[in-house]
Amino acid sequence: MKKTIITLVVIGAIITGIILMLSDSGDSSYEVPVLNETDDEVAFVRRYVPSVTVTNVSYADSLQEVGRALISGDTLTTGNSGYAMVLFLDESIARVSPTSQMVIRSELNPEKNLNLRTHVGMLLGGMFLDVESNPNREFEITTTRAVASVKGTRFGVTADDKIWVEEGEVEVTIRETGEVRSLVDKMYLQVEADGTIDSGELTDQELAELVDEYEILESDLIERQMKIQFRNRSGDPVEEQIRVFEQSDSSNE
Amino acid sequence: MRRFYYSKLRNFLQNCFAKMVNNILNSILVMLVFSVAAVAQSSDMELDIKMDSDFSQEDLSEMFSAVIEQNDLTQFFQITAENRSSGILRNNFVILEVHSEAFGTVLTAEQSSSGVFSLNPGGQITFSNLSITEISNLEIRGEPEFDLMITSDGRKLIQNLRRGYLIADDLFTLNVRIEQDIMDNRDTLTQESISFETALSESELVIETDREIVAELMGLNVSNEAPEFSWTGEQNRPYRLVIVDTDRAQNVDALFSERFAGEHSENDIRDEQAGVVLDVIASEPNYQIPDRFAGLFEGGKTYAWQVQSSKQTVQDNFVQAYSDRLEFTTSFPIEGEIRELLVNIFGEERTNEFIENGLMLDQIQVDGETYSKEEVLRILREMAGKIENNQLKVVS
Repeated sequence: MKKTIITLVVIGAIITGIILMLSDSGDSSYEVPVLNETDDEVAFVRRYVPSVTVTNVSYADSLQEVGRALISGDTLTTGNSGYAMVLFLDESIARVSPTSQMVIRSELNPEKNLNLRTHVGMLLGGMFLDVESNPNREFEITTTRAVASVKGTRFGVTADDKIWVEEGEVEVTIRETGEVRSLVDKMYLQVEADGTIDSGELTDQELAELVDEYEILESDLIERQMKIQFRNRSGDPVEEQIRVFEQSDSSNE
Repeated sequence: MRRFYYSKLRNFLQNCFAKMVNNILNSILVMLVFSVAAVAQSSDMELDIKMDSDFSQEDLSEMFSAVIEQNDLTQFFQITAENRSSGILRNNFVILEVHSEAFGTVLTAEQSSSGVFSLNPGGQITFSNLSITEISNLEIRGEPEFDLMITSDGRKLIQNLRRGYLIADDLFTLNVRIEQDIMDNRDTLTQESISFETALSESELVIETDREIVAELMGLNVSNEAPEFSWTGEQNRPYRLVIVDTDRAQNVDALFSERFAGEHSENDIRDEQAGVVLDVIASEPNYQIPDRFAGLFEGGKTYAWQVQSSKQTVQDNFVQAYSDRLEFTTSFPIEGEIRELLVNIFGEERTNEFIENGLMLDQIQVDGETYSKEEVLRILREMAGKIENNQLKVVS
């Protein structure tokens, strides 16, 4: 009888432990914010290099022109060579690198002209943000293992949990532990798969390389159709067609 | 009484005789009048000359041969003489003369005295290239042979024609006379002529080029191909081939004109500074760039070439025949800088595929505008710079 009671206690303890472990894993200290979402436009795709698609429950659109409006809950995906510059109503800018995917959610002010609370769920790839400083507004990006909360800064985030800051300040919460770290100019933080944290300061060159990746989105783009013609051994023409997206001001250089 | 009767009889007989003499004289007079009418009236003999409807100046040489050899294998012209009088036209013979405005009288052909012919009223004789092809109501003495006389100028013309020299502008006239020989007295019964013009054929001044062969030069791989230039023409004729670097030549047209205007010199077959890549004489309608000129062409450049040949006319003048001025651009082998530039656009793997498939870069078109080879390199370099600075993205 005693043995049975001990066995039941052990089993109960194990089950409890498992439940606790399960309930403790991931975002034990982070709760996905509950936003007052509507079907209003929360951002626009200001510039892009194909392919960029916007999906939601009822649509999956490949972008054909700039100015595409995004509503809360849209998933934006860039292809292998795709870039997108998303301009929020509060003039925050997200520059999205190729092979990225994110879910954009945002709650607007009553006048529907400012993002009060924005939450970007980074699923793949990376982006470089320029968030306007405003204590009354909230801008949050979640990756698998981290949450970056910003009040105003230029910083970058990757889905594999790297956050780096060009200037300003970002508050990073480690989802697994609830630990909060503050990153300022040139600092970076990388949450590894095993939960360890690598952080430090970027060199000017490393920082420039990270920022330069998004340079293409810094001015309006012109699409050019190019045909590169080759000749094969028989002298017959072989044509390769490519689309080129070029900064409009670079063509005048 | 007897005297009266005698005298009456004498008067009667005298009257009868006088009448008879008068009648005879009248008859003789009438006969003489008729006789004169039956002799040597040009309107009595109708002469007609017809050139064959297919005759062209290209047949000139053959026509002379046909006249000289008096054959009628191919009919070039036809002479028909018809007696339209009611009397017999005797001892007629034909004289033919070919006259050139440029050469003068070329040849004469006169029917020999052993073969004169007579035509009965309505009689007709037809000659083709001086051989009789049709006769009716005709009486001919001996064989209708012709004594030919070719003038020295005519001999020159005929020889030049046989050499294949070009027929130049000229006016040829075929004069035909029918004469009558009465007691060694020659009278022209009738004469007729027919003329035809010849002109220098414009097509002779053009050296044709085969489109396919010209196309083969496009995209020439300068690394491993020694190009062959060819055109349509005769073997064993000298052709002058001039190849010009269009990028280097200040004025391509002027350079070609200057080259062709001057005598060819083996000591001056290249002039890099002026843009003359090669100026050579070919004895056949093609020219294979020899090994000693390896490296003559550079990748990504445009070259123009033209062929000239001097042709002699039958009048011993020289005219120049030219091919069109043709261009070709050489391709870039995908190696070195070109390879690196393409890697920027297509990536390493795809660029290697191009190389494995033996492709060479030929030209680039941006927004519908095609750029020359020189510009291709500039565009690729610009693109590479922009890609490096993240100012340009390629979307495959």
